[in-house]
Amino acid sequence: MNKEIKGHIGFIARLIAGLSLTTAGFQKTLASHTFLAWQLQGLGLPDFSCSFLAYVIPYAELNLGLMLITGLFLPAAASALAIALAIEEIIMLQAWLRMLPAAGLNIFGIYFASSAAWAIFQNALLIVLLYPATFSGKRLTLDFLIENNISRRFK
Amino acid sequence: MQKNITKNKIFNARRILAAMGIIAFSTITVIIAKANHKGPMMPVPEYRIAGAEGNSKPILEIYEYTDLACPACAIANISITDIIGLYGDKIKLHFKHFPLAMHKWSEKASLYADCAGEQGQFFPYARMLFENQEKWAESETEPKEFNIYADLLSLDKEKMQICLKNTSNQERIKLEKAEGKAKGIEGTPAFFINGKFRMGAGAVIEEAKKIENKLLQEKRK
Repeated sequence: MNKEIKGHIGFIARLIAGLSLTTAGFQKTLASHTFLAWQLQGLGLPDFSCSFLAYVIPYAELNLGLMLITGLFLPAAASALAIALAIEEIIMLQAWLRMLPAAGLNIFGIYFASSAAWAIFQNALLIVLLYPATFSGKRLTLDFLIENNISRRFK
Repeated sequence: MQKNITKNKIFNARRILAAMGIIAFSTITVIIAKANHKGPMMPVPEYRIAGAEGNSKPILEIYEYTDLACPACAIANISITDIIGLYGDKIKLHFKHFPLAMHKWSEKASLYADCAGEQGQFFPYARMLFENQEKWAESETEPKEFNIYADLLSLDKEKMQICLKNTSNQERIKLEKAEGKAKGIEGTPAFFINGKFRMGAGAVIEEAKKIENKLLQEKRK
């Protein structure tokens, strides 16, 4: 596969993952904090962490998603999201195995999945998309534009 | 070497500036969306939906946030019942609980109404509560009317008790109220009519007039 095609795939992967996360994050910022905390409790997370996470997750997801779309701090944003999604995958899996009433709930990526299995699948897909998103298509990022602009000035 | 360090510093400074721009943009967008009462809505249980049935597309889709002990809500309820009676499948009403803290028995009344709903009698039970607010809303002890209305509608008492003790039903009411607050609702009755936020009992009547015009236009065609 030549570099250009890889670049396009990376860009599309970045857009899909970024848009999915941004949309979900935006919806969560508008949802009630009580509802998000309740969702997290449904996943078997300790009570003390739920309230805190319900405040942090929506804004983290929204802004990291936007950074992914624009390609700003791309490797850092993608890594942070990949780690968060991997942690969530573990949380979702344990909730699913323990048969907690967590069906239809999710932390990252989607606001209201129809089942736990669907949420786990979507998370896995997002993690897979983050790989080409991080390592290909760097020419279409803000990072590249800024670097290019500075390089020209220093020539 | 020095040139590279300076270049890196400028590069990082610009990226940080751009990141701050993104955060500022997202924050402003969220503030604007909240000010415009946007935000997701949980679906209501089937028994709390009136008017158009199934997937048919109504002319008016109303999400009503109501407190069963609020007098203005009782007035709005009469208007809505009349309008649904008139236009039937042209309107779809989604009833949402928003028990105000100043009404002592509101939350309990919502729970009773939901439990009546589980036995298919939500709207008749809610109507009884609205029509007789003065009898129970200010009561010092738990109003006996809750059980009287259940008896009048011949509801299964055992099922009712199980439902009342079910914490997920209580939770749903609290979540609905939290949802309403997140959407900027401070008083009742509050409506989302075809997605537009409206306050007060008169809002539905105004919208009903628009339906009439729309239906007349359709007839003329």
